[in-house]
Amino acid sequence: MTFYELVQNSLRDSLGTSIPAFAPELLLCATIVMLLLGRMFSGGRSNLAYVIMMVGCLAAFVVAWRTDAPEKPVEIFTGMLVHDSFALFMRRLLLLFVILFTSFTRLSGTPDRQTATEFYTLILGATLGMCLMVSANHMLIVFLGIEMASVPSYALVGVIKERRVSAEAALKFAVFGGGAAGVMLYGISLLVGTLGTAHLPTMSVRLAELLGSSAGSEYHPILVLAGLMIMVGFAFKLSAVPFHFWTPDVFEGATAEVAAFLSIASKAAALALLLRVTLGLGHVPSTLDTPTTVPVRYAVSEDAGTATAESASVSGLVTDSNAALLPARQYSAWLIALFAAVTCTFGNLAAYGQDNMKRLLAYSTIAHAGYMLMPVAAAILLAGTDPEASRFTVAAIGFYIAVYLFMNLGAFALVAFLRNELGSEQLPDYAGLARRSPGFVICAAVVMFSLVGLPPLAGFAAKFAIFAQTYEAGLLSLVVIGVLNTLFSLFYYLRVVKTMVLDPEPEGRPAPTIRIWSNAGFYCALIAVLLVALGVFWNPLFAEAQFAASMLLP
Amino acid sequence: MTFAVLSGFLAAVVVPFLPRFGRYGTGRTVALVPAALTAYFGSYIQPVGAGETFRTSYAWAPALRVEFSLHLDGLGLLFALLVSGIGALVAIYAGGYLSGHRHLGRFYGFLLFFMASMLGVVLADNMLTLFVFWELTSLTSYLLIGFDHEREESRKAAWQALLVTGGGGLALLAGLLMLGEAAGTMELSELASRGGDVRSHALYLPILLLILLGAFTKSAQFPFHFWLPSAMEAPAPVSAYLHSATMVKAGVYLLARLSPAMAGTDAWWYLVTLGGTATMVCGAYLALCGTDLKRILAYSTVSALGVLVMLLGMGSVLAAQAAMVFLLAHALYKGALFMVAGAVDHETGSRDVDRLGGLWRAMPVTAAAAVLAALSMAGIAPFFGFLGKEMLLEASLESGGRWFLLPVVVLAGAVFVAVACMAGFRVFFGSSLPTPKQPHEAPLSLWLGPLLASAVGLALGLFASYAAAWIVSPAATAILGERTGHQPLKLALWHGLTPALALSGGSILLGLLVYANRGRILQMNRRLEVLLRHGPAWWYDLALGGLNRFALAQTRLLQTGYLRHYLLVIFAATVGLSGYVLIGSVELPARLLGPEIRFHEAALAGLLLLAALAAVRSSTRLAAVAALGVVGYGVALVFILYGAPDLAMTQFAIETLTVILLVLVLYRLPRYAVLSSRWVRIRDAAFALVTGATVTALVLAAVHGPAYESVSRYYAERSFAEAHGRNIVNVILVDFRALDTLGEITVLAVAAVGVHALLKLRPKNREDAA
Repeated sequence: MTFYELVQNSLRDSLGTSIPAFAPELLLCATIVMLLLGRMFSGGRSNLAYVIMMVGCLAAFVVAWRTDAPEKPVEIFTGMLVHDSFALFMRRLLLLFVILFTSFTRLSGTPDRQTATEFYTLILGATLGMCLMVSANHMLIVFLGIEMASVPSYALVGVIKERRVSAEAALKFAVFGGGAAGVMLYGISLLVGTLGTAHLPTMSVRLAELLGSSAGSEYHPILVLAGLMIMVGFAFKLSAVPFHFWTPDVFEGATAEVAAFLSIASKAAALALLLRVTLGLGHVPSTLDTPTTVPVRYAVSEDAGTATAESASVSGLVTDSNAALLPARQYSAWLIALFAAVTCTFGNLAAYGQDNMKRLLAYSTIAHAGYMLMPVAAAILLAGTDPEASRFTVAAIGFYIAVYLFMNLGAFALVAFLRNELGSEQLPDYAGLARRSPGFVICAAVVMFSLVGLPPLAGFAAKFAIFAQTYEAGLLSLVVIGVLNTLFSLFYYLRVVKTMVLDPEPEGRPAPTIRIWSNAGFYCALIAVLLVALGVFWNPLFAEAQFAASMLLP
Repeated sequence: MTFAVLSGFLAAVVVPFLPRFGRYGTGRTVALVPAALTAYFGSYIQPVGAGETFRTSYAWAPALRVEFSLHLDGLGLLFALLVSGIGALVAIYAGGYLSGHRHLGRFYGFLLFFMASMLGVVLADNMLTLFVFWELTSLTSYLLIGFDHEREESRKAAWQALLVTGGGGLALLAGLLMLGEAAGTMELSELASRGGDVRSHALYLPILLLILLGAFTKSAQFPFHFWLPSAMEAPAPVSAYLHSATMVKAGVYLLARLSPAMAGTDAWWYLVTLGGTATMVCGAYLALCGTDLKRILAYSTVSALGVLVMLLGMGSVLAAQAAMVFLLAHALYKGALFMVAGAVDHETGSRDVDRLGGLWRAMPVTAAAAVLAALSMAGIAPFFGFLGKEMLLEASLESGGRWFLLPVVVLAGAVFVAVACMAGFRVFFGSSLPTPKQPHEAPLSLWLGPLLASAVGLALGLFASYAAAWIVSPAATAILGERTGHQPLKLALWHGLTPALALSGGSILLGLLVYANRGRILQMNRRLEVLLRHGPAWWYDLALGGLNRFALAQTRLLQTGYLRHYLLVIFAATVGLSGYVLIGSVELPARLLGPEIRFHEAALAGLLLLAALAAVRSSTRLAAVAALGVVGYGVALVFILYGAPDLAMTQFAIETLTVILLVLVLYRLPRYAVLSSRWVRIRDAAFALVTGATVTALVLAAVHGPAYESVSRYYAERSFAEAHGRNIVNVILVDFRALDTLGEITVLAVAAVGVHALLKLRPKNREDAA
């Protein structure tokens, strides 16, 4: 291949397929540059940063919205990323979230004009990483995406420089994050080293061969450990127990806005990535578009001498390979189910005695991570037996993520708006708010009920969908744990409502009123209406999620 | 039909604004909604009695087999009529009871919301639709019990009711999902024909248990009965409507609805019948021991719910018919009695049966309503309650071998008589007693509801054959499913001299005897109280408190806020998870120790170990950092020894940089202080050793090397042939991946410019500050 051909090829690949599919991310990059330039000209005295941020995100969202999903998954940038309906769905969701989030920060007044540029730049950087995470097709991008999402998050936590709590939280977060990333990287190198490739579909082919061969059992410990270490990285991102410790401290130290970002976008992307990796490794695709760059050649063991050159004709082996991957699926499902059960239970129990709203929501985030991990285990198990049902499970997860986005955004928005009014984030200070701001408290109640999963709100529909699918996969015990946990969670979510509605107003508190017709009130009302609407008419969104999942497990 | 169900929700949104248009008449206006619904459902009596059923459905989330579907048959119709009919009476009543209350509009909103949800429960066909409405009734019940939220007890009771019924609801959801899976359908109307599949399903018992948990909590069955008496903190209209006539019967409804599919097994018989019997006995006893009028009625309601559940558990044709008759009779008289109790409370300011008496002189109409209802409750002919009781006795007589039911039923009947005497007669007759308020007749709105309800009870008794044919029979048919048809229901006041009649008379006599000896029973109860203190309510408090304490302790233990504790837990978890894998799968390489180990290798290993120990034991930070640096350099030496000089170079560079950075940072910190105790240090050391051992085992596990060739051979083969370079790393950097290197250089350059700019900025800022 001559240099000329090389350039030609890479240009054709980039301009023809990759760049159009990657346009939203490129717009985000452009917005970052614009933000930095804008800061030079405005000097932080106007709302320019907010305007640029909003315009950039809207443009990216519109472009993502107008991008059509391809007929079948397309690998872009030489197989580093994959462009399919799932990636598109998740990116749209993330961009929609960033838009809602930006308007929320504007309403709550944090960041102020001075810090707006840094704040939004960091947010965009993290979002970019998350977009990479949801379309990752290569272990390198898996790690890169996680780090791109994490590093700005550390800085975001400490974005208020004067607060010592924030600084401590940021440091803890960074230490934890660094450790988890290191362990994950070690796991990834073990796995990639063993399989000789980092390209997910190729990895699944080789993994199937390895596990199907007689020498496979020798590699079991190393594969198992690699899986465990990779899971550590995910557990950190998802704040699954016992890698959750940073969550309450960081949420308490960070502003409610940053906590919202961490608890929603970060979780959504990590979950999507977890699905990509586990389903990608647990299933051999029936068609491989790009031939692997390195010939598939494998040595049984060192003693057996040189490799028996055996290039596998992939398509013929698919059924066998998928059967061979059974242990891999079972192992990852088992591991994830274990994490799910522990995380869910711990999160819900720990949320009990919390008086600080951000800590309470942190534990609630942990608990929800547990709920969301349950169907992941189900999807992995079903991938081997019934791909259709597995896709359906992924659809349920996608739906849950979408609903969770609105619920949690609503919850953190409430905390931020009340902080502005009351100057406090403690639950007892919310007592008797219903007397003065009934409309606002109704919105709060809708959000909390939805977080419990009470019908007819969106949270119920989402929870129902994932529990039904978990049951479908035969994980009855997980469903029981989930239902019991929902029962536990009733206590503390409703405690918030009870405090606002039933408890007497404390004396000598400034009389806060958040009118439902104010901007902030309207924002909350919008979310509450959305939660009711999604709870009653969930089919359109669910159909969208189903389409998103339709291209997985090709 | 859909509109009929949903109209209540619409009305509930509008109604709170009604009182703004006029102080009076709100109650009567609101009552129009349930009244219209009663008329609407009344029009279905004819076709449903003739055996027709109606069904409507809308797609909701078809992918998940979730539909919004409604289904009207005999059972649903009976309940729908009860819900809307009594709803109308209660709406009028509440207008009088809460007249002038500043949140009257809100109250009506909740009430209508509840009514619509309850209609949804009894008419839903899809199980998920049912569940949605089921939870909505729990929620509105919470709001209604806590309506007087200024009072502590009322808040506590509302909370308790919500937790118990809401929690049961979740169990129900799980049960329904599994049931749907087992039966292959989510539609209740199709369930009846899949009974065989369900009963023989492997998970039948868990399904049954979960569903019973939902039904028992909702219908206040033993041992979950405690929330109902506490819920009497609610205003009287709520007690009359939700907690006697309708909501608490939702569990009974569910059992009836699922009977065709699930009844008929031993598990069903024992769990349901015995649960019902236990509730019946327990409720009856507690009812006798009360003095608060509402509490007495609440416990007798618990007892009556027990009777209903017991009847459904028996599963015979007669029992199903008896259940429906008893249910209808109970809803009418108990609703009326609750409303009377509320009226008495409203007019006299007291609800203590021992401090009230002779009220009939002041409140003749209320007294009349009370007497009518009490007669029905006591089971005196020709009231409908008489028929209910007689059928109950017949059904228990018929149950044959399970003889123990009969005396229990007779006893419960006797207690009903005694309670009827207390609620209907003691308060209104005898000598007048002083009350907090001067008693006078309640206004029309307060006596109209109870009077109408008990009058309907009388009318149904008098025209029993019509009631049987048009209302009770279709409902019983729906419960029995395929097994019906052989025994058409005949209701008449006079059957001739049957054993049941004799027993009925006997239970009345016994009841009067019990009533006469009430003083002694109360005395005895005082002695028993010590035992009863540890009832289910106590267990509930214990469990709740225990859970709370456990949750707090867990959080305090794990979430200390110290990074070192977090790390400890993380290491422990990692070691636990991976150690599980490693144990048994790692073999020590044979030549780990042996003559072929050369001297400098051993020396290096010793140096590394010593340096590591020094790092741990040193008393100053700088020394520790230096020792760590030695460890790093030692590792670099290992790299050199085994032929990786480039790696060693990198290691040297990074190690040096790290040490310098650490020294720079740590230089400013104070000396070490020993903050941890000896035991903590030992524990930490143990954890460190175990973690280290795990990592070692990990390394040993990784000795197998790659199963696949990586790209290294590719580069090794081509670096000289194509790029004419012998240093593969260099070739990769400047040739194979030259563009990457270019990018990296650019980034570094930009970063350097940034650092330079920052350094340049600093002095200027200082000048600004100064």
